[in-house]
Amino acid sequence: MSMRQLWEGTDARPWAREINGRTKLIVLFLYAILMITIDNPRSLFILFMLTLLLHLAAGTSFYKWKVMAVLLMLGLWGSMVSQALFFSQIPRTPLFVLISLDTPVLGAVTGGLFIYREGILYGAVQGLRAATMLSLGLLVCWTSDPRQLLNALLAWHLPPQVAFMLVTAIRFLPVLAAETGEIITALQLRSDTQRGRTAIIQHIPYIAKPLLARCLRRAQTLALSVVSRGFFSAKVSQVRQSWRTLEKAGCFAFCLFTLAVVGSKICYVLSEQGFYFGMFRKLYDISKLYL
Amino acid sequence: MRNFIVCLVTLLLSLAGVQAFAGQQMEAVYPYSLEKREIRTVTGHSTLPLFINLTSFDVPRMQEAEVSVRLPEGFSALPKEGWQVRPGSASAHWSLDADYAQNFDLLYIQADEAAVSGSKQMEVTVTGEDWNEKKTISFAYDAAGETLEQPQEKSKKVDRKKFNWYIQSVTLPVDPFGHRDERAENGVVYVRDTTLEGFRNRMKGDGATNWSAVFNHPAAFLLLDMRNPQRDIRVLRFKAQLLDRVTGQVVEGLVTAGKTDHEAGEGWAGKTGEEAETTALISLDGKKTQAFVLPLYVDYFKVLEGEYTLRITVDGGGQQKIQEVPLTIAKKHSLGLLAVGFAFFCFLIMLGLLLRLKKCVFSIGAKGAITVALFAAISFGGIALPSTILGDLVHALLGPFSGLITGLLSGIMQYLLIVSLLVLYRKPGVLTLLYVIKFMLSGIMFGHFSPIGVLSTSVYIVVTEALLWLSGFFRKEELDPKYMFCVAVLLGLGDALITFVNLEQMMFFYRLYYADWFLTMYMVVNGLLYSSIGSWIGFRTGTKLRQVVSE
Repeated sequence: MSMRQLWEGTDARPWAREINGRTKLIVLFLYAILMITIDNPRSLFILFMLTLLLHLAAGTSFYKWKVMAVLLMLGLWGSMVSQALFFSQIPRTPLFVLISLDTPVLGAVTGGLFIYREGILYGAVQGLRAATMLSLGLLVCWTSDPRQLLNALLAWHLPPQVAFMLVTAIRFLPVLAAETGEIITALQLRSDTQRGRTAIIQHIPYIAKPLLARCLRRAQTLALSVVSRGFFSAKVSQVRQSWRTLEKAGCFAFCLFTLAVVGSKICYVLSEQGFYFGMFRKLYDISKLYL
Repeated sequence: MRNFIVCLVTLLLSLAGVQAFAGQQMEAVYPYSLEKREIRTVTGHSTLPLFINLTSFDVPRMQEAEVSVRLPEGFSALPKEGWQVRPGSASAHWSLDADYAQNFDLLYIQADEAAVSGSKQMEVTVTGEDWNEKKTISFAYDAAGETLEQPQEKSKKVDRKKFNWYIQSVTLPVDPFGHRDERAENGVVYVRDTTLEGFRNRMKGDGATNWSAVFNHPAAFLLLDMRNPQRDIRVLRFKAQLLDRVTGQVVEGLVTAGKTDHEAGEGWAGKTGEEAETTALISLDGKKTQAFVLPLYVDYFKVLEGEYTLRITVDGGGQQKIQEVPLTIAKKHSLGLLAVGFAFFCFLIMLGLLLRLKKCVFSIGAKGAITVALFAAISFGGIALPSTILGDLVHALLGPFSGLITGLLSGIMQYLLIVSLLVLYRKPGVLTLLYVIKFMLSGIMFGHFSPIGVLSTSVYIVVTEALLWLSGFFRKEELDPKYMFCVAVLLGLGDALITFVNLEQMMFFYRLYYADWFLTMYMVVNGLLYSSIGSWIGFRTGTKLRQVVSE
């Protein structure tokens, strides 16, 4: 599977592809709010598992599962490593000493650098937030055509000029990638060292200028074409995808649920600061146990 | 002359009078109440203090004195430093300073099992070189008056000496009057965030922070409920320590407030922060139940959030009682809240900027708009895309230090693109347009539509646009290298601020921890250094690209 195919949403089950872009973006945004609101590890895990179940239901291909698994594992690992190093809660048990307190300069600057056992677990739990959003983001990406999401933004009154710029950026992404490849080839051929011919990393600093120069030339040509045809000032044509009542109702219900969760959490946090109201006791219990 | 003689005679007479009144005065009180209450009856097996106060005045030399106490039958003195305790008596050697001296002490006397009820007498004698002071104290003893109200097993004999007093309960947090606020969660202490203390004080006009005052302000109060079944009267030492719940080791976090005056042992003892404990002196006043409201002092620089065990130790007279209660320390993250507040403020400004976006698009024309779109595509494909895919890999290998590598893209490349675009299209709003297109590309291609993404983009847009506007970038006719060097540094500083705000946001929303040195390193390297370099390269690149535009 090519890189391009990897980011396309053509192989997903029809029901997932047919969902309106607006529904997908709303669910994505509300889910993100839930992920930063909830603290309970069990609830976070359930929400994460839910996104994986959605992937199953949407028929995500095995190759994409593998890609997602790698990305999720790397993300979780990164979170675990960083929190194992910087865990700042008690109790904490140092497993390894990376920089001792006695180390000259670094010891004094860092106050010692340790791998904390509790930090690893904490990092895994907190990493679930980012992992869930990555999983859901990939689900939206793998079940949607970019046009579908663009139409959703247009339906929300995105200025046509901005929409035009967005379409231009999307359309020219593969072209720019191809041009970058050409520039790298040219730089490799011009390089006078044997090692430099193959090492792309050495040529990276020299890619920017020719690539941007080509962009400017392309922009000149495109602008002439666009202005002469009157495209720029006109509305971008869009194929309106129907937004079914069921989807609208679902979005509305999810929005209410998210508001309730956020409201409940805010009430609980306020109660910890002394703003306690007896009538919200059940709400406090729910927040403490599940949120 | 006559007046002088009269004065001299008067002075000599008064001195002689003073010398005539020179001497020693001894005061002995048993049972002595720390609250100066008059107590006449000693109740069953209690431990009460004998107070001896010896005052010497107008003796122009140092004196040695022997203090001896003869106890009634069935009474014994508890061991004490400086005292020789024998059955039925105790003695001590005191040195009295010249001219004026005051020596005083408390000696704890305990009624033993053998003591019988009735009228008792205690004799206190102080003997000097050529003087002797004696006092006989009479008191009543009621052996059955108060006994320990503890259920006892018949076969097990309770050692009454161990139950003079004990800790009934420890409650925290309470208010300074000892009232428990039912709205506050039990066993949770909120510690103020002192990160912005200096800034806050200066803004309020209070000047530099008085850290002594901050440290001497209690973080919380606890209510120590003591039981004193034998009605002891005595001074006890109180100590509160934080323990690691897993290892049981004492950890840093609590401190003792500084001395309230210059005399050691008065009030709070020891210097601030010397030990990881809060200490105090408490006095049992002979009541069966007594509650103490005690302040807990926290080392704001060292205390960490988390679950602890609070160990309360009360000791005195050879006895020690310990009680441990669970304690949670929670910090108020004012810096995180401030960062999020700033991000929301930026978001509101960005909404205003978005309304003017269309105007900006028309001002740069179709060519400009397409250029911005293509630059945004490069920014997305060359920065966001590799950062998402390779960033995770680098993150897994280097952990928190991965940003130093990915920062080469997000710092140098990003600012190279921004500044070179701005050199070509020097108009307010161009930057906003670039960031908006990039954010939307990221949202559409990766589904990265999230509140943090929106807030983070808002901070980038508002801070960078504001800095460029303030530096006069949009108004300047010619961009010379000197000026652009300053702009590059300014953008670097701005990016350091953006990095800080965005990391604080991440910490706030994702409940992550990053050390202060790590934040500083990111701000300096990723923010200031990389972004300034990127901006400078961007200026050079943009200047060259002008030739392409004018072709």
